[in-house]
Amino acid sequence: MSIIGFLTWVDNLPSSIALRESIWAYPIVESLHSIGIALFVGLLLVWDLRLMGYGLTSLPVSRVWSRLIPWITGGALLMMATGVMLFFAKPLYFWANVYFRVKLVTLVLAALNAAAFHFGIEKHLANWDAGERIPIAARIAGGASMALWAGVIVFGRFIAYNWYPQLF
Amino acid sequence: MSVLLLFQWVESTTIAKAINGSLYAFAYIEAIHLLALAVLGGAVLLVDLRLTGLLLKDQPVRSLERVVRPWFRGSLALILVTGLFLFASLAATKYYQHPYFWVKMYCLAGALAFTFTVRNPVATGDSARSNSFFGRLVGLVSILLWSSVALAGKAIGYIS
Repeated sequence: MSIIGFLTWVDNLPSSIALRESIWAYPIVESLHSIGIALFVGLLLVWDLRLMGYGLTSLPVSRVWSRLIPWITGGALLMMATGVMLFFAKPLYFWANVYFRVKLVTLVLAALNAAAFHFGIEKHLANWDAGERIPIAARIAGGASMALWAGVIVFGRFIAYNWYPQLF
Repeated sequence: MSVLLLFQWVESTTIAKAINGSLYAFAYIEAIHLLALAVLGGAVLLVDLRLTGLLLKDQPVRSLERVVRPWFRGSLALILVTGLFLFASLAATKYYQHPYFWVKMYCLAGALAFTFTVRNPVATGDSARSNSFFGRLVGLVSILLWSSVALAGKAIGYIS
């Protein structure tokens, strides 16, 4: 079955139709998704800046990480849950939109950047507390994270504009 | 002088007409508005979550507020300026009669007043007070006020 075939099947599900035609549910989910930006990206920014050596410099790097990560994770879960619900409500609309696909690619890159950091240099966080200069790889990860998430936000906003014809 | 006349004048300015006439200007300004929201969110939440006692409890609020201050001021300035340009493009035609525009403005006035007259003095002041139940309340009220600004802004988009 093709992607479009599968998405058409999802699009026709009663629960999908109910969500996109709802008076309150869809607006609430979308509001949580867009306001959640302030929580998720906002706190992630604090971490990325610390990784690059700015902001909470009086706090050891590993301490900033351990304090912020529960909140950043919670924010990420909120964004993922609301994002999946939004897509579930209008799968064909989003899949036909260029900016949605670009947003998805940027999102995957941001996730890969986070994974590379998590499975790579994150284990050395405690070493950097001891006064070692934060390695350049970590700083690049922080900068890339900021740029990629800014891209996700902007491309997400541009979905609503009809500058580009639908892809199918 | 009526508010409507003022809004009509704003909408007639060259810059407002330029934004309104352009296919992309509004969207790009709004994108910057959203990015500023992300930074402002982080700056506000870092101090307010600390005030409510949920985050970074071993750090004095005062030092968090000091670290965050340039980011708070910068993102606030950017979001207000971009907001002004967004408003200007359709001041009288759309926003004057838009219910949620006024809700957002009142909430914004409230959030700004509360932040600069209560929340910041509490955060930078006596630590016995900022760590007390009163401090938690101040943090909670601040989060609620800023959230209502954001939600009202989102609601504007729903009724065009």
